[in-house]
Amino acid sequence: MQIETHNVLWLDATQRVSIKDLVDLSGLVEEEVCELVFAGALVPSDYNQSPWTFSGDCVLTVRKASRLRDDLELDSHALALTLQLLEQVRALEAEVARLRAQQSAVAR
Amino acid sequence: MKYKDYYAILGVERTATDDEIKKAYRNLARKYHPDVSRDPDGEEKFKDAAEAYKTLKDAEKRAAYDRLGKHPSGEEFKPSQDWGDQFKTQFGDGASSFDGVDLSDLFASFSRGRSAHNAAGGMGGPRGNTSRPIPGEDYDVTTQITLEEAYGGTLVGLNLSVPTYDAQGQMKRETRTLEARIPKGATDGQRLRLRGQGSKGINGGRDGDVYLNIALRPHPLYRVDGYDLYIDLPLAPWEAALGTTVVVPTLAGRVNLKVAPAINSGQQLRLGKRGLPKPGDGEGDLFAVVKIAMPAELSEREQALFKELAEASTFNPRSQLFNEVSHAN
Repeated sequence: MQIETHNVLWLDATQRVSIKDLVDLSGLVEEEVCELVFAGALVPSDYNQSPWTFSGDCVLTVRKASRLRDDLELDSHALALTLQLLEQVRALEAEVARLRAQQSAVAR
Repeated sequence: MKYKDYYAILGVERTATDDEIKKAYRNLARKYHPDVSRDPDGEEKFKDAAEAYKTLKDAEKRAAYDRLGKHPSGEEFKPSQDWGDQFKTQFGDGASSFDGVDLSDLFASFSRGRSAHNAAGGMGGPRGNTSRPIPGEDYDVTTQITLEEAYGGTLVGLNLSVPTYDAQGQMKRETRTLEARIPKGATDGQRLRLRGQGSKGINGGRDGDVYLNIALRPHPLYRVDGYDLYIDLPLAPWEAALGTTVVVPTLAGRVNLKVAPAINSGQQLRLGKRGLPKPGDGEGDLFAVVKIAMPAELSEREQALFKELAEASTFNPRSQLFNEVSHAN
């Protein structure tokens, strides 16, 4: 059986995506994406530059927003708050992982 | 298809009201939603709860589900011809037409013509009568790779259960196998996208994507922090005191590392650009964390030498402790 091999796209700060990309990939509408920006849950690369562009990892944020909106039936305010709290949890977990990595295995 | 007891999944009676069903779903969603839950089985539990809720919150689907009768969970069954005649789905034309279909596909097909919305990461892709574009289904897949694979890049195999449609528009699920080329530079938690490799869009809708979540397998030697690596470097007490040159294994091979005299446990020695490669350009660093190791047993000669050292040395490693206590008092 012939198995197709495909190249991947990075979803990180090395990539730039437009607001249309975020809409197309998430199922959110443009107004919802803008609300996330105004609420601080989504940060454009340069807030003052029009049109906005975003780093590639924002694709993950808007997809998460779409899932939470649909699955937990959240309104825009609750959605923005939830995303911000989840980002805080992610940052804290990354910090814990970093400190664990730096510790000697014996000390842990 | 396998029977799923949607009421049992939500933990409600078959006579539950719409409000009770909604409340039960919301409780489970808060507990097991994959974006908020740390439960390793949370995603599967949430998928089951969401599938159950999607059917039971809709009066027509709930009536159709109830008419399937009650079966033990997991039992193979097929809807009767009468059921197929009464409830119009895209399936049901002929005895074998429910083959390759699961319960969620069956009830998702009720949606045709009612909504073209199929959210990214949704539960299924109904092929509707509508001519509105319907995007293909996205897939979120976690794949584990070794540190060595992350360092050099690798290929990972993926098996996806994708909906396919025959000439009559009837849907079946098939396993699609593909390979993703993971370039060097992927690290733990890295997210990658395979554009257009999810299920096919309908009526001109975009093809779905595959989102890969990279998880690094634990390594016996190295701990990972982003693109930096940490390794324990055991030193004998006399090596820590006098300094030495030791051989350190790196992902690119062994290197010599010079250790300065009077080094302490916990100090980190940086080997620049010996960590994981970064996407595009550059590399992380490798840090050797000093760990002073004592022999399990000392020979008589070693004991004598340590005693001689103890008598000759004026070093008190605990002097700071007593200074701090006297200041506090």
